[in-house]
Amino acid sequence: MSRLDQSGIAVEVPAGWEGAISAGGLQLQADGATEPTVMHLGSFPLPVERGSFGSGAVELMNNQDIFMALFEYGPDSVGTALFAEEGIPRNLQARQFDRNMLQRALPGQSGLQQFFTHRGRAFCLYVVLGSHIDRADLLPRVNAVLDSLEIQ
Amino acid sequence: MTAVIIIEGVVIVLLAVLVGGLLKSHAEILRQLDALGVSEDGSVSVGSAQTRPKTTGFEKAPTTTLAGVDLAGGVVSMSLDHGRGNTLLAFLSSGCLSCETFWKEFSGDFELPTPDTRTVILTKGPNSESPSKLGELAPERLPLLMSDEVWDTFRVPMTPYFLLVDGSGMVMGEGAAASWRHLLGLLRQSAADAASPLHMDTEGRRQFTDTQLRSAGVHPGDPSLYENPLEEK
Repeated sequence: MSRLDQSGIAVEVPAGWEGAISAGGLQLQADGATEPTVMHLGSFPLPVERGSFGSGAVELMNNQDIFMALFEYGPDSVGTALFAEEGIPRNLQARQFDRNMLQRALPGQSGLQQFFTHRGRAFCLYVVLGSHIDRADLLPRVNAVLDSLEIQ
Repeated sequence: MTAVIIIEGVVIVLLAVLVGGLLKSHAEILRQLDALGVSEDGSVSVGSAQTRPKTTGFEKAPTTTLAGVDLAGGVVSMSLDHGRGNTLLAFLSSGCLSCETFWKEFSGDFELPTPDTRTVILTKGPNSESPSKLGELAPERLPLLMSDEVWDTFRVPMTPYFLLVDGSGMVMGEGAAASWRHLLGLLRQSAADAASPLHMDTEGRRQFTDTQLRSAGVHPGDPSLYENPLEEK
């Protein structure tokens, strides 16, 4: 197990998992856009080239794999209806997962998207489970990671 | 006259000590190079004591978690015991001349002799390396991790240096390579050694023996299996 800590986000990476937190920090880029902070965790080897919401990675998952992404939105999003939920989502339930929640629909997989605000920062938590049918069995591993997630 | 002889004697003794010291240090350098698998002409040979896997059998990698930073400043944690395929760890630096060929090869469409092998490039941390130079050298499609800690943990003796680790985190082979051809040879040798029954567990050895017997036409229940080879016919 190792701990990732970057841009005010910290998480324990379970043994055998891989993870990364970008150095985005919502810094202003030359083109005027802001670079978001993105955290990725996977129970499988994460490819170098992957989208913010796991495209390029979720295709490599087997039915027992898990992919998690935490994407930070800009300060403009704070206080909007979409991010009204306060606090880091924890103790996710199987009924919250849906095949239609996937950014990239792949057979058998299940997904969850939850928008929230924590300490004045707006985020989307995106979780992909390798198997919708086995989602109740996979969830304890997801919740263990969320238990360790800290946002400053 | 006596004084001259004494001075000459002292000079001869000093020269003898100096020559002896030089020979000793030269021998030590050669010994160290030999231990690293580098011959006197500077070539690194596959199959030498150094490129031969250090371990007498499979041994667990000193760590199965690689933690460091990427070139964009993000933090990264990678696993060596993910249970899928092998991982080739390539310890490279931006300044070493021998590394140039590997930076170039890894940036192209390369193929490794060991199937299902992910290549991970490991450099020293940002305080010991040049991130800007690495940015020019780094292949876009391969993960690059900067970490002094990983280098210390694996006790990397020189660059370029390579380790082949299987999906359970066991080191299949390790060594230095001076050229791309040497690396491919090292990987072939590591894969062949890994397939040797000497490196198999009990179940692996049983399966290997069964396969060998079947290929020799000896099947379960064959009478020859129950003969005592020491018994006279």
